[in-house]
This record gives sequence, structure tokens and C-alpha cells, in this order.
Amino acid sequence: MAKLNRPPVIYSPTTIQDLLKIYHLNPDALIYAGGTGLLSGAEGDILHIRGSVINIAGVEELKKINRTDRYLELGASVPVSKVIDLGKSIVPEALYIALKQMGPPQIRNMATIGGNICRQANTMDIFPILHLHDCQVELRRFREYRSPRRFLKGSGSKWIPVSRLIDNDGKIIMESGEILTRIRIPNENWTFESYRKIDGPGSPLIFTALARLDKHILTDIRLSYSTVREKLIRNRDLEAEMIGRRVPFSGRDLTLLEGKLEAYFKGTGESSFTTARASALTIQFLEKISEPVDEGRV
Amino acid sequence: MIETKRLKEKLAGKIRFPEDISTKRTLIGAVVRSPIDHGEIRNIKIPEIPEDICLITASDIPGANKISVPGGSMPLLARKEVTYRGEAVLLAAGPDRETLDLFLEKIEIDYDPLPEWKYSEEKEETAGPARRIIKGDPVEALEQSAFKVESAFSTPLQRHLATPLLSVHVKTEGQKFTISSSTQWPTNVIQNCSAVTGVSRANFSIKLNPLGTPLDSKIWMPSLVAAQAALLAQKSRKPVSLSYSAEETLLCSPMRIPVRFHCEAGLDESGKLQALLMDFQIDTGSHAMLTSEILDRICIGTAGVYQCRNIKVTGLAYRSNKPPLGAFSGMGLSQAFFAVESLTDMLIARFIEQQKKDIERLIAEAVAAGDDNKLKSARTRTTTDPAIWRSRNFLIKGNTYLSGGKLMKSPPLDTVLEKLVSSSDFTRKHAAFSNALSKREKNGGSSFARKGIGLATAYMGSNFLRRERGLFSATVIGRLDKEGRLNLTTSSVPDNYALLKLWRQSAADILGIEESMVDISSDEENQIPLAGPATLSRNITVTTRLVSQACEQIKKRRFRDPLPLVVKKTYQNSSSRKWDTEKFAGHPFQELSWGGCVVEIEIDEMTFSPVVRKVWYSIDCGIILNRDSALAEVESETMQALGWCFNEDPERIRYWKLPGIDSLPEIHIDFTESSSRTANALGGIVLNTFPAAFRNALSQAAQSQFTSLPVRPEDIFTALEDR
Amino acid sequence: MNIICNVNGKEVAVETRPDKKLSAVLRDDLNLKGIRKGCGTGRCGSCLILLDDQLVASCLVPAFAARHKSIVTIEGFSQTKEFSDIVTGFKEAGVHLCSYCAPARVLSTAYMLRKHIMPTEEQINDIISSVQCRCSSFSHLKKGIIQASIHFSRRKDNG
Repeated sequence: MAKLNRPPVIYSPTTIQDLLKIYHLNPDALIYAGGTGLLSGAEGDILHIRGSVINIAGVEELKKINRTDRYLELGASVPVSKVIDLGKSIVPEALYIALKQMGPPQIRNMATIGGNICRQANTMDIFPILHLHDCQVELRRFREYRSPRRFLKGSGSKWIPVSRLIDNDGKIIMESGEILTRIRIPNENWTFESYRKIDGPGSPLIFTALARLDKHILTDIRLSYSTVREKLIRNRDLEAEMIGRRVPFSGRDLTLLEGKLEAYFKGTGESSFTTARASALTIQFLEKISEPVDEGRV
Repeated sequence: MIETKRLKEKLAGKIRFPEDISTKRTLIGAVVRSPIDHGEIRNIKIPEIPEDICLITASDIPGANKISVPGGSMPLLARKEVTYRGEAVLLAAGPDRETLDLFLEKIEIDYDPLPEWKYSEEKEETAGPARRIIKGDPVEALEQSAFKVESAFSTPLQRHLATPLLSVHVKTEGQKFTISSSTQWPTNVIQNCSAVTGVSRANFSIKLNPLGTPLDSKIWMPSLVAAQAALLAQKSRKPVSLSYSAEETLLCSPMRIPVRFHCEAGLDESGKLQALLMDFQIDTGSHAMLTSEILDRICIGTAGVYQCRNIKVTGLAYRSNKPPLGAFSGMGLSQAFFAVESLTDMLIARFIEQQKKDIERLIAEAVAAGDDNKLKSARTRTTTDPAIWRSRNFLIKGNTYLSGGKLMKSPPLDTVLEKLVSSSDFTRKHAAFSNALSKREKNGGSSFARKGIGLATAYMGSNFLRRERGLFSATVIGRLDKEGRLNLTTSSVPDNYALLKLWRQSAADILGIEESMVDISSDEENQIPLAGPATLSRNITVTTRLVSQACEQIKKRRFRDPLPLVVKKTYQNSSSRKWDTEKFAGHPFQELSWGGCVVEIEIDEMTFSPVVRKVWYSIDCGIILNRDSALAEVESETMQALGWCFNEDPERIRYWKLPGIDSLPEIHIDFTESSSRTANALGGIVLNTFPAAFRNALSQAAQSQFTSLPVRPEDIFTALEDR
Repeated sequence: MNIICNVNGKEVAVETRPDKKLSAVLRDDLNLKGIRKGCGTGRCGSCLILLDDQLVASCLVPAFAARHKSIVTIEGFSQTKEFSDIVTGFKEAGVHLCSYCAPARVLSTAYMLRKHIMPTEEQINDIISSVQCRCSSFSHLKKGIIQASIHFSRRKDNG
């Protein structure tokens, strides 16, 4: 039987300033955006939220989408479905595919981009894509500046690479009272992007890959793998070894790369089953980038 | 028109369920459950009970503290020992959820955990029903066999969140109780409510709510929920609404019974089946409910659809600390046919292997002797294949069931198989895939996709084996009133407009009246005291016939006898197809449907997952009453079967994934309407054939024999690695 | 907490706990029983509603999040002409649904057809995934949705 507790106190700020101040005063409050994270396992009709909740759905600034020549900027509480609606030509292909796979339509309408990043359990979903794309996130917190004349109040803001958002154990590192407000995705032309999430029966695995070709020369490649044990596995040495090579890869090269990848994977303690899956996905990607490029494609 | 109106109501969400009923006086019920798998209740500390709260312990029950079905029972409330997580210990009702929860929070129950029940032959406490049937001399016959195969197989439990969630509403007026329930078995609800309250059955009436898609998880569970609510209503003298949450529904609902098999079989030199030895154990959960029925059906099913003079089947059920487990589609036959049809395929593979060796030997001998004629004849010899072998060994008229009853006519298996093989191109594909895979393995390359094609044939028996009236029979009451309006009352009304329309049409045709003059309702007045549950295609096979019979009788009497005219038709045990449960003898099934399935699979070598590309069915289930519904049923059962074979993880209680539309294969269905002039069981045929066909196809693709369901990607990876 | 919102075109005010599930508020306090109790995790789709025109699982929405929002449930939607289009489409395709999931199927279909009046196969498959129930045949449902889309667009064309 669920234990009853007092109803939570709900704060509904409409500006970022108010949000930061409320969060500063209630650092243990639950941030409510789309709600998909609140409820897993809530039995019965009451959600039994303890303490206080800050409902950020009314903060318009957090729902903005901004496009420039250099980047696509998403407010943290932009719903996943809104990002999908932007279309493949605006959203990086891997991200687009990942978001489309994020549950049925009703979940995508509720889940937010920021929520997905901040929820540790879900970081496997889009985190590797943002990481490979060198995305930046904006973190903000309430700050009081002391000046000789008067108190100046304002918010402290910083932009950090998304990779700095998680520690070695895959846990989100944010300071007390700090809120993720925006995500900036650089506009970079990748010739190939791939995202595969295998989450059927068996151990789940996410494979993300980006590759850039210039006149059959592989000028850049980034590969990441997420498993249950490791949120992000990336071998930059292997990537460096491939950069500068001519495609198509020869059969011998592919076999060599496969061997190296398997050896590396085994070193991380992954099972031979996961290793085999990761290796098969990688080889498939490398074979795909070896095929003639469709000229209309960027 | 009636159908359009009903469809509109359904789509507009106007259909109501027990959980929707509420009045100001209605109390909300709740169940306090065991948090442990197995243990002894040491102490229950109950605080002072407020006036508006009603609490019931096992010792407060005025009648019997059990829920019964023919052949089994389980406690309503645990008295001393809890035998599964989620078992009911206390019942309570209060004016609202919050008040009730506040009170329940203060109740303290101490448990002494006991060791989990593990199956062992010596332990009496875990023993359930058992069977041992021997025909001929199977041990000797196996010994003498030219080809032998021995293998273990296992099938998992299958969960199902049956919506509407388990719920009931009980209204009281003096001594009278009106129960609203979504149940497959209304008479069992009344029987049990009467038994636990100690109130005569005549004081109970039942309003049936639609069932949703219960997959047989609502055969006896609604009786338990109704009895719990009836006790609370009896004590509080107020209406009670008891609704289980999704967690509770999943925790306590019966699941498909898991089975472990150990099988041996032998062929003679010509490939005839000589011996079949099937030994199995089923996990029945904490209490055996319909277990003896399921056990007997598995016994019959494991003998397969092939001629064999020497068969031994031993089966036993053992108790475990899971909730009492249930039937699901096939009611045991699905598990049985998975084992016997998988074993058959292994046996055929062994036989083909030997035939190939023989051909190679003959060629070598002819070459050595320089005999061109011999060489020619050796080269033109062909091996058999799974379809040809089956067609040579099928049961025919005069053969006997495992239980001794004779088949009165030859089953239409040849026709079924012929259609199946021709539509799926089975024979060619089976050979082509084998060749491609052996070439691939020889060359060490991967130019051929890992494809496989598998076949299985089976039957489905409608209705129960046990012939107790409370399980086997059904009744239809027809009443023609003075205005010429016909009311048909049945023991249960299906949530299937196609079937209702068919009954209405059939009645209107027989009596020559407008369809709008026919009403069909469930038996709310408790006029039908004993009838079995709506399962095993009984609505299609039994009730449809009773509707016609009742109308024919009314037709004969309507101008002779005064109106209103009432006719009651009850389905009885057929005199020519008797079954003796005690002796396991006679004709097991009243009607049989026959079917075959071919599955074509490709292994995705990146994920090591099987991709079911195409499925073919050939089914002879007599007359197809509604083709659209039949096609839809085959498709949705295919998805259930696919879930059982691959997608669903039986270990995950809440967040398992059902196969979605992206897993939907191309399905080809061929209905043969030749063997019977009646409508027989369609439900179950898919679950009885698809799993073995799936396994057989996958085993060909991986060139390795899989023996357990679900087959996991890890299993496929390991099998490929081992090669 | 007093929750003021617009339900099926009418302004309503409900006094409730802020952390009560919206599905429960709509069922218990507003007697809208077309919203079913399902898995409670947003996956089965039994409790789908349109919240500010977006398809959401009402078991995942706390009452406080519905303040000042517009809610359409099957009770409201079944009064529209679009509902008749879907009934006709489903009937023509012989779609058999259980009484439990049927309203959610209708509402999700309507949501998709409002977005994409001539949906692609991918969009149809996607919307079918919004309700997890073992009752229906996917291919019949697909046909039903296509039929419904034809009626939808025909009516739109006729103004």
C-alpha cells in the first residue's frame, strides 16, 4: 500500500529569472517539464511527489528553437515531437532517427530534450549523438553579485561541451540549483550519419557514427557505443587510425579494423555477444560509407 | 444498423466496465497482499478499526475460504501460509481511497520467510496432478529403432496485462447481491460468491461487462475478485467497488504455464515412426486450478499427429511460488505441439542426413565398380523432406488417440499440408536454403543470407476434456414473446459483434423474422446455474449450435403452443464421443480443427535476431463464420505467438515489449472448409503450429537445434559461434 | 488545489490534489469514463487524451500540469464529424477492437489525421504504436485508418 504524504507545493514560474530564484531557494525541488520521468512505477491514482515541484512548462524561453548559420539551438523544454517536426533537413540525421524511436507518439509529445539529457536512465538515448556532434549545453543558476554600491542580482550562465555533463560513471554532474536551459547543435556537414538502437530482447546497445568524406578520403570519423555497463564507449585511437584513409576500405583493412575493435571492446569487459554486435554494426557502417555517394546528399 | 450503433458506442467509449460503476454509498475495496514469495504469517497487528472501514481476515469468512473450479481450488485469503508474492491476506473497504490507505498504512503484518518451493520428486508439498500413459512397448521399440533422437525442450510462461484490469462492483439490497464483472465464466463467479458468503445462489445475479482480450486470464480470477468484494459488501451492507491496479493485475493474473519436456523418438529404416517417449513437467504455480485439464491436454498433444504404435507419455505438475498459473490459447496443446513438432523435425533431419550418406556411398560404390547404370540410379535418388515425411506418417481413419478412442474419419491433414507446401513453395525453399547454407559454411563467406524455413502441423480441440457440467456444458434460452420478439439468453455474451450478428442473423433466418426483432443478452437472472467458461472456442462451436437448435425448436412449436414460448437448449456430452477423465480413456475432443504453418526466417547478423519474413497457414476449422474476423484472429494470434517465441521477456513483470507493427510478417492464410459442416475452433491453431515452425525455421537458418523458447539473440549468437 | 481547465469545450474547475493523475481526475471527478485505466506507464495508451491538441497519456500528467489547458477526451471528440469519419472508415475495413482500447484508437487516429490528412505508411504505423493491445489485427487497423483518412479528406474538400 502506498504511503500517503502531504500534497507537494507547486511553483509555476513563467520566466527563467523566477525559475532560477525558486530553484535556488528550493534546490531539492523536482523540476517538472514533460513528466515522463516522474511516473515510472507510480502505483494508484496519486503520484506521491514529496516536497515541492517546479513546473517549468510555463517558461516560454525554454521552449524556443533558434537557428543560425552555425548552429541549431533548442530550449531545454522543447518536446521531442517538435524537434522531429523540424525535419531531417534541419535536425542531424542521427538525432532525428533517435528521437523518432523514443517511444510512441504520446511519449514523444510529452518528453523534452532537456529532460532526456538530464535523466540519467535515459542518457543512452541521445547523449552519444550530442557528444559526437560536439554539442554544447547552457547551464544557468541564480547568482547574487556583490558590488560596492548595491546588490546586483542576476543569473550565472555557462556553456559547456555536453561531454562534461557526465562523469566517468555516467552520472550527470550539475551543481545545486543549476538548470540546463539550452542545447546548441553545430551545423556541420557530415556525409554519413548512423544511429542504431538495439533494445529488443538481449542486452541493449546503441551505436552512433558520423563520417565525413572528401574525394574518397575519409577526413573525419566518430564512433560511439553505449551499453548497459558503459554509457559511452569511444576509441579515439581507432578513429584517428581511420582518418585520412581512402574509401572503399579493402577487405583486409576491414578485417584488421574489426580485429582491433573487438580487442578494444573485450578490454572494456563487454561480453563477446555485445562485442560481436558492435563490431557487425561498425563494419556495416564502414561498408556503407564505401559505397558511391549520392550527390544530392549532404 | 444495430451493429453500427454498437460500434459507435464502442468507439465513443460508452461501453462501461465494473471499475466505472460508482454511487455515493459505494465503498472502495482494497486487498492487503503478501510482499514475499513464501512464508508464514507470524502476526497481524490491526489498529482500532474506524466506523467507516470494513476489514476482513481469513477467520472472518462466513463460508468456505476458497475459490474452486472443477478439479482445483485456491484460498481466498491466506490464513497461515503465503505461497506467492501478491497473495491476498486481508480485505478492506472504506469510503474513499485516501481514508482507506491511511488505515491500511497502520496495519502491521509480520512474516517468517520460508524457503522457495523447488521441484523435487520426493517433496510431497510441491506435488500436483500426474499422468502416465503407455501404448505398445515404447522402450523396446526405441531400442530397435534405426534412427533415434533425444532432446529436451522448454516453453516459458507468458504474461498478459488483460485490460480491463481486474475489477468488480457488488451491489447489495438486503440479502440480494448484484455483481458486475468482466468474466469468462459467470456461473463460476456466482458459485464462488455464494460459497464464500454462505448465501444461497438464488440471491446472486450477475451483470456481464465486456471482456477485452483476456487470453484466458479471466477464467477464474474474476471469481476471486468478485468473492472478495462480495464478502466486503456482505459485511459492510454497502455496495463495494474493488479494482486491482495494473501492478496487482499483473502480479496475480494467471499466466501461460511453463513446461519442460524430455523427449525421445525412433524411426525404423524406412523412416516410419516406431517409438515416442515424452516426459514433461509443468509448473502450476502455488495452486492447481485448471492444471489437471491442461496436463491431460498436453499428454494427448505430445503424441502428435503421426501414426505410432508405441508411445509413452509421463507428465506431472509441481507447485511453485508463482501465482496459480493458467491456460492461454491452446490450453496446453501449444506447449505440447511445440515439443513434438520440434522433435519431429530433428528426427527428419537425422533421417535425411542418413539418406544423403547412403546416396554418397552408392555413388562411390558405382564409381568404383564403373557401373554407369548404378551410378545413374544412385544420382537420381532423392532424399525426403519435412513435408514429405509428414504426409507419409499422418494419422488416418481407424488410428487411435493416445487415450484409445478411434479416429472416426481421416483428418484432412493431407489437404492442409498440400496447400501449405504449394503456397509457401516449402520443398524447394527448404532444399535451396540448406544448400546455400552448406555452401556458405564450406566457403567461409557470407554471400548467402542466413535463411530458414520451418513447418509444423497440429490440431486444436474445442471445449474441455472433463465433462463436468460446470465446465463442459452451455445453455441457450430462447423466448419468443407475443409481439414476435425473440430474446436469446446465453451464459456469456462475447464482445464480438461479428459473432453476435451471426447469431442474430441465424435466428432471424430460421424464424423468418427481422434481425432487429432478435435480442441477445447474458443470463442476468441466474437462470443458467451451470455452464462452462467462454474459452476454447466454445462460443463459436457450442453456443452457435445451441442458438440454431433453440430457434429450430421454437419454429416447430410457435404455431402449436401459446406465446410467450420458452425453449432451453443445453449442450451435453455426446454419446458417441465419451471421455473418461479417471481412466484417461475415450474420445478426448468433441470437435477438432486441423492446421499447418510454414515460417520463413532470416537471421539479422548484426543484431542476431530472427526476422520472420513470411508466414503461411493452411487451416481446416470447418465453416468460417466471418472471414474478416477469422483473418484478424489469425494475425493477432501470430503476434502473440511471436511474442512468446521471441519478443517477450518472461522475467520482466511490467515493462516487457509486445511485438509491434514493425515485426508484422507477411501472412498468407488458406482456409479449407471441407472436413466439417460446422464451425470449429480457430483460436489456438496458430499457437499450436507457429512456435514449432518458427523454431524449425530458425534451427535451419542457424544450422543448430534450438530447444527453448523464447529464443534470445544471445542464443543465436552462441549457436553461430559454436559452428 | 483548484485546477481550472477547459474540458471538451467547457470551462471546469476541480478541487484536487496537485499530484493526482489527470486520468484519475477526469475519470473520478469529471466522470469521463471513456478514459480507461491501463498500465500506468504511458505505454498501453488506454488513457490517451488531447492536451492542448497534443496526444498525451493522461496517466503521466499530474493534475497541476493541466491548469489552464484545453483537454479533449473521447466524450468530446465523439461529438465531432471527424468521429463519424473514423467510425465509417473502421467499419468499412472490418476493424475489430475490444471495447477497452477502442476510444484510444479513435483519438490517436484523429490526432494523426489532423496532422497528416493523407498519412504515409510510416505515419500510420507510428500511430498504431500509440496503443498496445492484443485485440486488434494490425493490417485491419491500417486499412481502417486509410479508409478514415479518405473520409476525412473528402469532408475537408467539401468544406
